[in-house]
Amino acid sequence: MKKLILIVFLFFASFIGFAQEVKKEETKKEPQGHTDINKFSQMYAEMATPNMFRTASGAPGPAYYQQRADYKINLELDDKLSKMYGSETVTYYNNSPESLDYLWVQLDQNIARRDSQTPLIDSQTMPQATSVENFTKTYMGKGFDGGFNLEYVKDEKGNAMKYIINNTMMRIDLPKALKKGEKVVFSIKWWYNINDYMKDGGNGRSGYEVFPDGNKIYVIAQFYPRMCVYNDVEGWQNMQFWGRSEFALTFGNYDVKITVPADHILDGTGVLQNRSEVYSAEQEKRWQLAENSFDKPVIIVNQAEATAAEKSFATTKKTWHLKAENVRDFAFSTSRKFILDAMAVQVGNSKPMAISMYPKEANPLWENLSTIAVAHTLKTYSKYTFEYPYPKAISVSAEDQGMEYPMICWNFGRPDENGKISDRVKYGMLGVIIHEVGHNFFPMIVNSDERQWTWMDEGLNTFLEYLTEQEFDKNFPADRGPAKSIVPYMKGNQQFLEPIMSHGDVVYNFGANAYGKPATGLNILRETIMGHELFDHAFKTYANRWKFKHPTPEDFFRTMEDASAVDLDWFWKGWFYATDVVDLGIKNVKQFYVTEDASKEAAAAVNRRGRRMPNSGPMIYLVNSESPELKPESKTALETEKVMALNEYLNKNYNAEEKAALKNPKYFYEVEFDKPGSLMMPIIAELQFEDGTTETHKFPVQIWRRNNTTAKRVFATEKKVVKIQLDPKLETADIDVTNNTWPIEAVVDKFEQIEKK
Amino acid sequence: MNKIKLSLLIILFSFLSAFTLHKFYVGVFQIDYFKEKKAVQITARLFIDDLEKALYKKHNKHFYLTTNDEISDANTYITIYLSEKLKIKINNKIQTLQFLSKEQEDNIVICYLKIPFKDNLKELDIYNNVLSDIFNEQQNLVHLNINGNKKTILFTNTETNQKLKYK
Repeated sequence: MKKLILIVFLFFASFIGFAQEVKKEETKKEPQGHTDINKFSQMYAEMATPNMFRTASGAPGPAYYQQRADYKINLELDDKLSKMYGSETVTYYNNSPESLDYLWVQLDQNIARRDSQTPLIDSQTMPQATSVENFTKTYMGKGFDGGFNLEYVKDEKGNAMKYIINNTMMRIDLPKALKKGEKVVFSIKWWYNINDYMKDGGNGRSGYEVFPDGNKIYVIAQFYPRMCVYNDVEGWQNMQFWGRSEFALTFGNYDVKITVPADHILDGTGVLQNRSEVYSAEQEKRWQLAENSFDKPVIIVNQAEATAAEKSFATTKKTWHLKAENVRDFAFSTSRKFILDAMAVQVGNSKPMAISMYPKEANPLWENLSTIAVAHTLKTYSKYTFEYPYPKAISVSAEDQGMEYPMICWNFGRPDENGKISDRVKYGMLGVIIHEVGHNFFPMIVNSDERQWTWMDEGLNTFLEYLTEQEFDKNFPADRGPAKSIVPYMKGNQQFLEPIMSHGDVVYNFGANAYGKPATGLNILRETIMGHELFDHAFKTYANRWKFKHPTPEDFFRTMEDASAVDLDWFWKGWFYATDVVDLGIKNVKQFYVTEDASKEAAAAVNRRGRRMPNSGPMIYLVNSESPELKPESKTALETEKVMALNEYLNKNYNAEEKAALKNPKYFYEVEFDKPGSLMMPIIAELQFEDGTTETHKFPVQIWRRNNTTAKRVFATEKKVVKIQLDPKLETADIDVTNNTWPIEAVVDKFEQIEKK
Repeated sequence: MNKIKLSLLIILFSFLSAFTLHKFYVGVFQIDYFKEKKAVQITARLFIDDLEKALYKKHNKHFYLTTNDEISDANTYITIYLSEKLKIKINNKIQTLQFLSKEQEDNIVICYLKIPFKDNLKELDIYNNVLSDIFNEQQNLVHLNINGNKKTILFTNTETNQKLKYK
């Protein structure tokens, strides 16, 4: 047995020996090549090839098309039982070059069905203790009975159509293919239970809020089967609605009749067609006043009228008729609690109405500020994009809400039950109104695909929200916008960071990823990289190119460069397509003195290069302060008269006047910057002098184009530098500022400070 | 124990957090221990309105944190809240948080806390459920610096415990 083992061993040993010999030969390797890994390489690989639909300039191409869906909807609200009954006739126009065999329709209410998939995709943990109420609800209750109950899907002639429902999506199979340029008409009838959005869950973006007396404020959206978008990049955008990533919607015209109790006040997307039927004569007169009031809102339904209506519960009904053109969606709000005020807003040549609806519980905060904030938002956003093209914008008071639809949005923020309005409540309410009204521009008009790219509307909108807030009030607290505010997120554990160019449903920190970081990125481009003029023009170009159209991220990225001549591929790659972070630092600072004594090293260098500069004349030498060859007497600020060679040269070549015009540098510094972070940024270095004055030097990001890790610059100054501060205004989102100063400053020990007090 | 009162809110807020004006829901904590300082130093950065909401849900009263109307013993309530939601064991012994002070920075309140400790820190158990009990999406980033040994860990409403060992 042992012998056998030995033989086997020898057998293998010979192989090993052989293998090793071969390996030795294999180890001779030439350096491995690599592809273009330069941070400035252009994004040909990341971006789709431009085509006839979407051009390389970022504009819609000559073959660009989009579909259209017109809706005629009849609705009736059962206020007592909180049920919505509806029917619609949809006319769908196929403008695509392809024939369509089927249509996809969104059934967003189905997220609240008892068999909805949405609650099943979240992990759960067992709580150690729970209330009996919650226990009953969670483990014994059946849950809210939401979702669409479809009564029929019929074609134009009234024949039932074949359809299949896949969670929040419905496919309608067409009896014959819908060819290019053709339209199809079909009707759907449905009803659903409206959810108490504070309690029932499901579709939290709409539902009702109930007050102690049983009155409700309804904020109604996603209430009808809506067409999915079909386009050149996604085909049908039929990704499920999981609850987070929002909507992709087709433009069209809406004709909507809504029947509610007669004591309700209602408003929604579009122009009210029958004001005299639904307003009192007095209210109609007030509306006419409001249409000519450009400086302050006019109260149309006052608090006394609303309070009186609250006490009734009308069994009679009224039908409100609204029509909207070229909108991607429709929403409305209705309640007998509503106070309503409005004013006209001059935006270029158009005069849209700014409107607010709120219960008495929201006063006096809302009557003072809501409509004013709406008007300010329309004006400011129009300035940065295009004149607001819709006839109105409504802000509705709905607690715990912040949600946008064309021409209407729901916003939180009311005085507390003691009637107290803290600054936080006030600014919170103003912030959400500005944000949600601002969504009229992105994505209601510049209609990006929210299901796929949350940042395209939330990021751009949060950016403009920031500018609009700062213009409203210089002291408006800003969570999102300033570069320094994104640092706590960006310096987090990379394991929990995703690029902005990720699907909204998969990111860990939705707020920071899809709102804060893109908004901050645009702010950095505007303030630090492009400047206001180039940025604003490019941003405006994007907005105008894509208003009432469906842009993609690439259309935005390309337009921003095309209209500004600023290469931003490096920025898109680092800030949007990756989780790179900014960390620039000062690695080393050397001070130099001017002498006529050549150090050994310097002399050798001159000798080596002598052949190349035969006519360069007498030399002077710059010696590092730490060099052993630096003579103590040379360690002084430069006085040109004392450096003979320099003095002679100046006297020979410059007259007195010319000499006086020369700069007079006395101190010389060589600063080495490094870049521990992988994202590039311009170097912004502030020199602080002995006398307290400062001087800022800015080096374009291209300083990193070849050497991507360190860069050196020489500063010749008239005054002695006592401190160098990188990024003094914190405008680059540098995640570690402890390496931003020279000399290195001791970090203030906050705890010592506190304990001393 | 406030879990009982708040459990309904867990469900409640889990869908509220889907709205379009989306907040950060992030708390940032710095926990430092340097033996010579004879204390574990803790800095907690929280959104004021979130903390206000958490305290309101617990005590059913407004605290008006960091405003002129802040109630007089707000710091005590904050200490109690944080002590329940941020539990720290060192070398397997539960520690008591001492509240030092707080300050406001924009919409954030920064709380300074410490745990007196002067021995070798060998084991650190952190339970962090600050605000994640009411905001389903709340994430608490904890940056640790234990005698120069740096690490960042993340807590969520389903990841509330982490154990760290040091030599």
